[in-house]
Amino acid sequence: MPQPASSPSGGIPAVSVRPVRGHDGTSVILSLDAALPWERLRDEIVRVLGQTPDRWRHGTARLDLGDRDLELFDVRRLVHLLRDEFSLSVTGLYSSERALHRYVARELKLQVFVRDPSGDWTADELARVGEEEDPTRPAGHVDVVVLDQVGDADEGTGSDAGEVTRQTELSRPAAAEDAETALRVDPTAAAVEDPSEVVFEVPPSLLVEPTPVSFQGGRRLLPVHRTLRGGQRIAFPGDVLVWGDVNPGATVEAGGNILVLGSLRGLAHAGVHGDERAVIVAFDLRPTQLRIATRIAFPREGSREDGGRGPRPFRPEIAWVKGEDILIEDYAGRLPGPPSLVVHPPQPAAPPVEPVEPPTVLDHTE
Amino acid sequence: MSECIVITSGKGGVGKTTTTANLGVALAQQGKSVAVVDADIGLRNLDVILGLENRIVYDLVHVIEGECRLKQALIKDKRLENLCLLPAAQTRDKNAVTPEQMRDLIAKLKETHDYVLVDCPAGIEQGFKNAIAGADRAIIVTTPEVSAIRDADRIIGMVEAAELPEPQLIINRFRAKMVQAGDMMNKDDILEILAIPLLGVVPDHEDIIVSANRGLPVAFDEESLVGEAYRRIGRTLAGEADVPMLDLTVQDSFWTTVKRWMGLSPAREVAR
Repeated sequence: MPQPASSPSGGIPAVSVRPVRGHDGTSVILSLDAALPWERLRDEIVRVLGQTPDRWRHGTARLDLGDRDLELFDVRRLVHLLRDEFSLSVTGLYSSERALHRYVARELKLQVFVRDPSGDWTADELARVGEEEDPTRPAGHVDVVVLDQVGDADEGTGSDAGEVTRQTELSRPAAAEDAETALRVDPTAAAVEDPSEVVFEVPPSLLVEPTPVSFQGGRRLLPVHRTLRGGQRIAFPGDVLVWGDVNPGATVEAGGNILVLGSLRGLAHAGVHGDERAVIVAFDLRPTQLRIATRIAFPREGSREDGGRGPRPFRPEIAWVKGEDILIEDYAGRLPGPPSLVVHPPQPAAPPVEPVEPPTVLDHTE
Repeated sequence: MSECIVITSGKGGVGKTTTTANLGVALAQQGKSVAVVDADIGLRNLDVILGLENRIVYDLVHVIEGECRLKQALIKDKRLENLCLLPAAQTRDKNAVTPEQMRDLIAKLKETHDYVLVDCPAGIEQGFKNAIAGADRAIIVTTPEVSAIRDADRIIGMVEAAELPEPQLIINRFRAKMVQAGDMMNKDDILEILAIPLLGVVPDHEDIIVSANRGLPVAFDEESLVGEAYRRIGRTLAGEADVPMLDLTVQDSFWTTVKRWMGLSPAREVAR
């Protein structure tokens, strides 16, 4: 059932919603106007879906971006918006091939070549880096042909697809001719086997970012759901949370804090970029070595974790920098001094101890 | 349904080869057809432990390089009909074989045997990669020593990275007396760090050295406690549920008990 919404500027629908039968209940395809800026588009989506919010809950959605340029950041914001506001998980994207080419050209700074009908490779002019708008194509152009194919690709939604096509034609009379013009001008659409439509079926989990603690300052949390064994190493610019043990010979490095919900017996380095307010908390803290910013602490002689004798009380402890030393105390559920779980920028005075690692490195150095 | 199990440890000298030989014997005694493969190319030992050294004509590298058929290289055990050995080459090194070749070889052996036990060389290099290539699961052998446990932990991580199922643990060279005196790590200390299921504990005993010198695996010895430990592990491996573990606690002598009654001897510390 199409629910066209008029954009404030005129009679053109900025967002149209097309329900389809999915394998798992409610599923919709959201077609977005390629010309609208993202902020306006977002408001439109909230307005259109907000009319019947309960209808979409816990369903899945696919975004039809048409010929809109893919901006990963915007797509991600949209995914989050749909998830948070409407409990809709986005499972796929429709995009024109040219938009994908432009995306590749922009991201990789490479020219994209396509095979023309004679079999020769020619540069896709529309995918130039820093592309100017093709003067023959009006802004916000949507390929009607493309939408039809989308419909056909969906099982049992033939009539729905037809409706949408009609809807587009009605609301944008020039579109049909434009599509043909575009096909004639741009031979790639006819030449490539899968014409001008690219579908990404992505499990929703891949589009969702690692659990953010706070977006301020980019501080993020990396949850590690495993025990780190000897020779394994985790390095992450934000906070690291280990659900398991860190065994002797394993290393955890974090730009921020390190939390271990288990035994920390290996090496932990918090605040690798020089943040002295970083802390290390573990349910059972008996490391081979602790490092916070530029400071290093060794456990006392004779307290070796597995050669030692006698039972050791199992209690959470916290390590933090006080004055010149790393102090280890019972962790009573509160952080010493100013809370370090809140974002704080790296202190410029302290130079980085080690070069910043790319996020989430798990390697077996052999 | 046949299965390939690799016996590995990381550290050398913890008893991989002895364990492989004895588990091979224990499984064969239960009527399973077993092939033990020595993957320690260049430093072969398994043939010596099994007492089959002087029967070697062809070896693993000959098979892989196509110089003989697999069947020609397999050496049948003198005592057990359904146990055979594929010996390693002594004149080559680990790089003579690739993981893909090992995988093919193991697959062929699995067609004709219930169990294929691979004796892995020490270390984490090419030899290790070859040995785990065709394995369905792994058994980690360790001793109650910090260095052996460190290496076992590293190996467990690498076994997991190779996408094998969770390995099982055998604690070898266990000395109940030292543990009770608090001079050796106990079972729970080791399991706390390694956090994998325990398959069995094998006590330290001079039987092992004697049997290795004679080329007669201790699992043949009905009298030996060590042999019994291996036979029980073999039963567990063959799928028997709830095989009781050996009671390795040291019994007090009569006089110690009397002294304790009289308050002359300190109360015995319960083994942790």
